[in-house]
Amino acid sequence: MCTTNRKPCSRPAASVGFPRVIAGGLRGLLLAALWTLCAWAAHPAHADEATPARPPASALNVKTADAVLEPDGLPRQTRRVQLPFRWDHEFPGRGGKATYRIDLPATAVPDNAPAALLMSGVGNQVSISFNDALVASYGTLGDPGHDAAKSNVLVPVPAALHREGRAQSLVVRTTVQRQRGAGAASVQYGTQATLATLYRSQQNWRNTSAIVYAVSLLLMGGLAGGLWLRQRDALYGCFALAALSGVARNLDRVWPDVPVPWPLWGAVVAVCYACHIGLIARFVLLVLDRNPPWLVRAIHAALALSVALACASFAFALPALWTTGLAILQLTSIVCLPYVVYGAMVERRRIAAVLMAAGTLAILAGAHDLLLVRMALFGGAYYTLTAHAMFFFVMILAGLVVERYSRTVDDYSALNANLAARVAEREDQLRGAFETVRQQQQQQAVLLERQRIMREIHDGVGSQLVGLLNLVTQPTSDRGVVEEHVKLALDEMRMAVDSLQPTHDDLPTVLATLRYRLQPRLDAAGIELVWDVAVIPALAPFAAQAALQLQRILLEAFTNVLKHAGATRIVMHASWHGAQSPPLVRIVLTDNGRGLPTTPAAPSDPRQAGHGIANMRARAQSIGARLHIETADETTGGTRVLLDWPCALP
Amino acid sequence: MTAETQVALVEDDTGMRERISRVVDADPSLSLAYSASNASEILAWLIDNPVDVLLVDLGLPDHPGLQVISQCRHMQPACAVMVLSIFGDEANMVQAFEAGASGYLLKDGTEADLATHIRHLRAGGSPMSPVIARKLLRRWQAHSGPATPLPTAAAKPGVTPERLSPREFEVLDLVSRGFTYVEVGVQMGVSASTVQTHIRNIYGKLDVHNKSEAVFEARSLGWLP
Repeated sequence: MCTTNRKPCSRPAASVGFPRVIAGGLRGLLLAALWTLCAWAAHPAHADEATPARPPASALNVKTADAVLEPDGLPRQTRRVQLPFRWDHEFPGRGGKATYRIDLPATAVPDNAPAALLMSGVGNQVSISFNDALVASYGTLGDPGHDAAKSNVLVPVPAALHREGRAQSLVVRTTVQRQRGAGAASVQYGTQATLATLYRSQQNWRNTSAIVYAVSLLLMGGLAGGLWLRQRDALYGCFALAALSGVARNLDRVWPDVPVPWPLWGAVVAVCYACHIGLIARFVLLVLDRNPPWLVRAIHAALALSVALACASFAFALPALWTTGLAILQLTSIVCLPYVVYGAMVERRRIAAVLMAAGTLAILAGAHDLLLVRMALFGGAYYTLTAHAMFFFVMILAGLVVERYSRTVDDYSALNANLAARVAEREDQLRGAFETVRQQQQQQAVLLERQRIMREIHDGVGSQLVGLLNLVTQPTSDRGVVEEHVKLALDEMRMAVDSLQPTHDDLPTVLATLRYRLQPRLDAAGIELVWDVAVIPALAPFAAQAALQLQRILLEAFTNVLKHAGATRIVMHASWHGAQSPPLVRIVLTDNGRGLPTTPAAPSDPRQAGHGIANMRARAQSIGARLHIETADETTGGTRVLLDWPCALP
Repeated sequence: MTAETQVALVEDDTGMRERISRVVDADPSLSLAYSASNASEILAWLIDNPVDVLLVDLGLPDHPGLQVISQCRHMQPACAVMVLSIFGDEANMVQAFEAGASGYLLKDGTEADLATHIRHLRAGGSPMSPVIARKLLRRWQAHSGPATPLPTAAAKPGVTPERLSPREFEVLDLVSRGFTYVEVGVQMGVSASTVQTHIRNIYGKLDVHNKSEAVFEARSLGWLP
């Protein structure tokens, strides 16, 4: 849990006074816990990371070096140091220069085999000489633009430089910036083949994992940021900030030439790291949906404090301040843990169980990094673990997004089903209501039809029968008159029955039926009927009633001719004028009788002509038709009944 | 006309039965062979007694009149069946025609009317009211109509009647608009008897039993011209 100490730490100074058993036990526990979950990276480098100090048998692991140490503001020291040597531990908050002289045994590498040096954590700027010949340099001595201490370096040593039979002289000159994790972690000497393999596996493990984490954090941070922009869910916003701030540290591990001057870059990485840890802690609470105000405030305070301490640490060259900041973050994380455990154990929430696993690992890794790597307690440790542990939170967020998305889809499906059910229910209600209305309309129609039939019978047959009754009760009743009355009553009855025929909407058939009924009487009276009914389209159902009124008007007209006109010929025209608006049916009934009466009809007439014509007019008015009764011809007489009926089509 | 036409009658109304009996007896060319008051009676009688004309009331107490028509057509294909109809019931005649009836008599006419009708029928006349013509027109238009298919209550699903010729359609149209057979003949440029033939053919096409044989028989008996 430190920003710059990625290299092995010095062991002896800090472990003094601590029993080896305890130190080894704790370290083993931490490592074992992490390994089980780091197993995905099934990688040969595991073995190397686990026991980084033990090189393959064919390589020489340098244990000590003769060092010339020139810390700024302190006197120059010349002494033998043990590797790994950690500058920051010896001279906290100081830069300077260091030169390490190492005598390599002559027999370490076979004479004819190409040799190489493998160094890690040497820096910050390095210049390497082998038997007084410069073989490699990383960065320019004294120029802080490059940090060689981040990388492993593999230095091939030309065979020509090899001195037979004598110890090989290795001189490593370094310049150091304060708080930058400088020193000399490990130096190995061996055949090129052996060390190249070792170098590749170390490189893969350290660099690749850092790049994978950086890219993953960037992607998931971006995703969470997008989700936050759209949904304004604090959970996503918090994770986006945490992930993006975590990118800086992982990037820093593999980026030797950061274009930001030291120690400003150190402060930036430290601040980002503090944000990373603090926001992940906050994120965990948000995922659990447990946000006790005091704890939230505590997290915010710890975050602010550690950020301030990080800045102060690099500004005032006081590494202890940043260590304190890290300790505060560590404590904050530990305080959050009970909530997670409670959620997992008591509330039995699956997400809490996952968080508990990840959180526990992160806290263990943090403790490991803080105590063993940063503070070099309990025997010290060489590599930080927090970055690996934090990666689980990335996967948790990914799982969370998947889970939430799936749940949303399910919710929408359920909502759709629910809505469909409600729509169906409402449709049923509507159908029921419609059915009720339809039944009411049907009942109403039946009622109206019944009233119409009653009126038909009452006005038609009824009045005829009343007239007949009056007639037969008179002692002087004429048999012919009575017969005429009965025939009229029969006609009325037949009209009433005809009005029940289901072909009302067909006007020509209505007219034809009228003729079919009247023809025997016309034949009996010796009246010729010229029939001219054109094709007329079917009428709208509501016009069917009107067609019957039309039939009654014409019956009246025919009866008038039969009774009063003394005609021998009737011409009946019915034509359709569909082009007019509204469409018009025109019926013209012309007879060659004696014409319109000039005097009121005789009282003995069974049907009073005046009353009949008034009836016709009333019926015409009721259906919106125009009725004209006029003399057909001034010279020959006759009567013309003209009826214009605007009607509706279906 | 060699022999009197044998007429049988089934009618549940006693008064009506007596009236028709009187009319038939009064006509010298007709002879009443049997008079029944319900369907079972007449059907039993028909098994053993051939008859030329059967008058059927549709509203019989025991079985539907349509069933009597149908069974009679089956038992005695040569027998012409006439329906005794009340006034205004023409709309229901189509079913009777489909069952095999070849004409109808109106019950509520006077006795003189009845006699005229029977004579008319006997002379080969097939009356067709405008309402019946309209219903038949719609029925055929719904099945195979030329231009304007109309919904129809008369058409029974599953029964596809024999197609009408264009001339027959024309006859139906003119009759439904009120023209008499003579006027129809004038408009179509044919004789009134040709119109009568068309009408009979139309009735014949309605009969699901296809009574071309019956028509042939009836003609050979002198019942139809």
